Amino acid sequence: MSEATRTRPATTAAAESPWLVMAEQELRDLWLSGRGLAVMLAHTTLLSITTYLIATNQELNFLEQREAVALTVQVTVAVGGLLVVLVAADAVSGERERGTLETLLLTPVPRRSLLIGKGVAAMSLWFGAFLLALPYLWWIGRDVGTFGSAAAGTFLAGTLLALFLTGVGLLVTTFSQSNGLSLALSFFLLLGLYAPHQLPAEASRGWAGETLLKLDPFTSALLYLERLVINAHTLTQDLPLLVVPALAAAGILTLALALAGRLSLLPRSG
Amino acid sequence: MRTLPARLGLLAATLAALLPLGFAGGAAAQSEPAAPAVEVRLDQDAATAGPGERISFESTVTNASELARTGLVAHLSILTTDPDVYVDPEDWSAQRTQYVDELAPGASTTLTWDVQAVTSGPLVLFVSVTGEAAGPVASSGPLDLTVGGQREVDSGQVLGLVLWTPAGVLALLGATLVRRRRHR
Amino acid sequence: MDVITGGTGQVAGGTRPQTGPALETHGLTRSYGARVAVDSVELLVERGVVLGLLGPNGAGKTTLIRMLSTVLRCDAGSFRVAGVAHTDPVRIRRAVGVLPESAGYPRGQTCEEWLTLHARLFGVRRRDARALAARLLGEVGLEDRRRSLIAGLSRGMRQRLGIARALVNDPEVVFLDEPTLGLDPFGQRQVLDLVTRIAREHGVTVVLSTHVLDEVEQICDRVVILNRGRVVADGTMAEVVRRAAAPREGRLEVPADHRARALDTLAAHHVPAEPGANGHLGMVRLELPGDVAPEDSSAAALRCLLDAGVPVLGFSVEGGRLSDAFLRVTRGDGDE
Repeated sequence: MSEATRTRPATTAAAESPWLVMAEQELRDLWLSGRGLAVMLAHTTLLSITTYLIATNQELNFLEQREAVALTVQVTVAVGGLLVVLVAADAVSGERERGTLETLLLTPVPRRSLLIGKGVAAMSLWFGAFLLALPYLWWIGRDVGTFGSAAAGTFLAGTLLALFLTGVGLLVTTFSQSNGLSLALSFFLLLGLYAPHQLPAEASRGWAGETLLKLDPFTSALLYLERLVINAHTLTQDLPLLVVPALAAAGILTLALALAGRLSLLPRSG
Repeated sequence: MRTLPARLGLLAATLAALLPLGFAGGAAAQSEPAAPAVEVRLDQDAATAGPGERISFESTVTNASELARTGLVAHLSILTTDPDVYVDPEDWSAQRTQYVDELAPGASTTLTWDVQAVTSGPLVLFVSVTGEAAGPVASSGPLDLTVGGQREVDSGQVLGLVLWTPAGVLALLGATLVRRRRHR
Repeated sequence: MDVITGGTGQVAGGTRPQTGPALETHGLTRSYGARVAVDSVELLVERGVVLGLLGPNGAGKTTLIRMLSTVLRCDAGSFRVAGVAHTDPVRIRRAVGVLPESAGYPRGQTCEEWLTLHARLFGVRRRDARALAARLLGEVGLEDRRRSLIAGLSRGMRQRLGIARALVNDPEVVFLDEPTLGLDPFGQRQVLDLVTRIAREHGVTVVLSTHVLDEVEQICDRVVILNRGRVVADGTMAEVVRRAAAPREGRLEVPADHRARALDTLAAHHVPAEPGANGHLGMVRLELPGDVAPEDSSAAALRCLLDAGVPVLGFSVEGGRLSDAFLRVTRGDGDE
């Protein structure tokens, strides 16, 4: 081999942020492999079925138009959230199980950057789900002038929830013994957080019920969207309801990134 | 499809409202001295709302007797006079029963009721109060609520949206998989 | 502690400054619960060596490599890799290349994509990373699979790709953990040739972990044998064999009518011998002590026969191979 080829490759610390390199590759893996598009196809199919039933089926058409918009918003937030948490929950434990984590840990990239890159890829599924919901929101709400506020509100509240769920998934996957455990745990956490919103209103009375609802980022965000879409509130009218989702997202992401240093080849070891 | 449940709903709502009154009347006739009256008044007798809107009104419960009353129960009833309109009171308000622990002679208390207009049509809302099982029931006057026309989704051209959007995604997915296959 | 220095067949490393040993460990220890996987390992490996790291399954080879490449933390002890202390794991990762044991590969990425990603994660600019990926793929004989998905590669190709990945940062020390595991003989040959070539052309220190002793005998200058987490042998091949005192077998061929006299003569000189068991009437098997150089013990045996007038038709020495030493120092231990 010549001297030229033996010379160290041109490296520079400032050339590219490692998290950006990771994010780019994760996004390519997700979207160019077809996995991302396959779940987006499932998402649009679900939205199409819901919209078709809303529009043509007598029983569902019983829904007032604003409620139909609200239903579409809820489906989008729920599907987007589910996709985000599942991809985030696979981020580390999946690599560990596929035997590809070790080569990533052998790079000089800070483990936090690995997590951020993977988190960005997970978040992209939410943005995809949101973008694909826009034509449905426009079509269903076009006569009642809700499209603009519904779209903006969904983006705002949904993004906060997606960030929160990304944090949940990353935290769980970092410390899970197996990928199956990580996925199951994250999924049940998602269901657990979604459940209070489905409780009968009676259950929300009393300090315990009220506290539960106030502390549940899902309930707060969905209530914000309900008031925005059904009660025609303005975007800023119920902003305090988004404080809990925002704090929850910031808190759990901070925690996940703070504990990223404990990401190891063998969980609970290192 | 809608007629049967609608009628059942109307029947249920009407029975719910009327049965206590009939029962109360019977009870009053049987009891020795009829329990002293409790009066219920609403702060409004007519209102209009659009579908999905929330309205709020108050009822004032007054102890018109010379005895203190405890354990009073106030209940909001919602019914429609249109047999083609289906009303499920549960959809309208999650809290349709409120309790008054103690009411001194001549004293009053105000109860606030929140409802969300779910269905368009002519509706009647009233509050009834009783103190004990088989005791007399006092009812307020009616609040005539008119809920405006319901905006429903226009089903025209829905096929274009529900078919073309997934088709677009499917085309993108196909192109991605074809590109990927070239790398095999 | 033995100092392991570069032996024959090594070409001094390229242009990078080479100061201090390639590897240095002091009391390196790691446990998994109650089980001690690596126990107070002391090593000193000079630069430019191809070191064979031997041991039965579960001996602690992979754990040792993972600690030295900073993927696992050590419970006790310290080490330096390429002159960098273990307290600076990021700099160590910049200085080492690793082919992990049973490494997984992202099936959905192309070979070029994967190498480019890893080069970029080492701070190489995108365009340079792509050029580097193409060059490394050429080096490992995968230039025509540049745009192929990794899912479509054979196991041998994947191992060669893994070796290319271990070189993206132009490392000073390369750890190859069981690189030929699961490969057919042709694949094994290709990988071993590649390792030899890398060691020669890149001038790096190579640590080859394996339990295939032939591989070590073929390409390694030095050998360290681990057993139950401890270093049980350490040195050049000849040193390890000698220290293991593995006995050798000499095969002597004499005229059939001289065999009895040959046996008597050897017995008189305290050389354990017995008639050959293969039916040949002139064959004699004799045991040569492992702690004496084979040429010395053979010469002594032959001399006493010749002095006694026994005609010797043929003589060969067997045993004394690394495998004998390995079995002797590990006493057949292992997980499986």
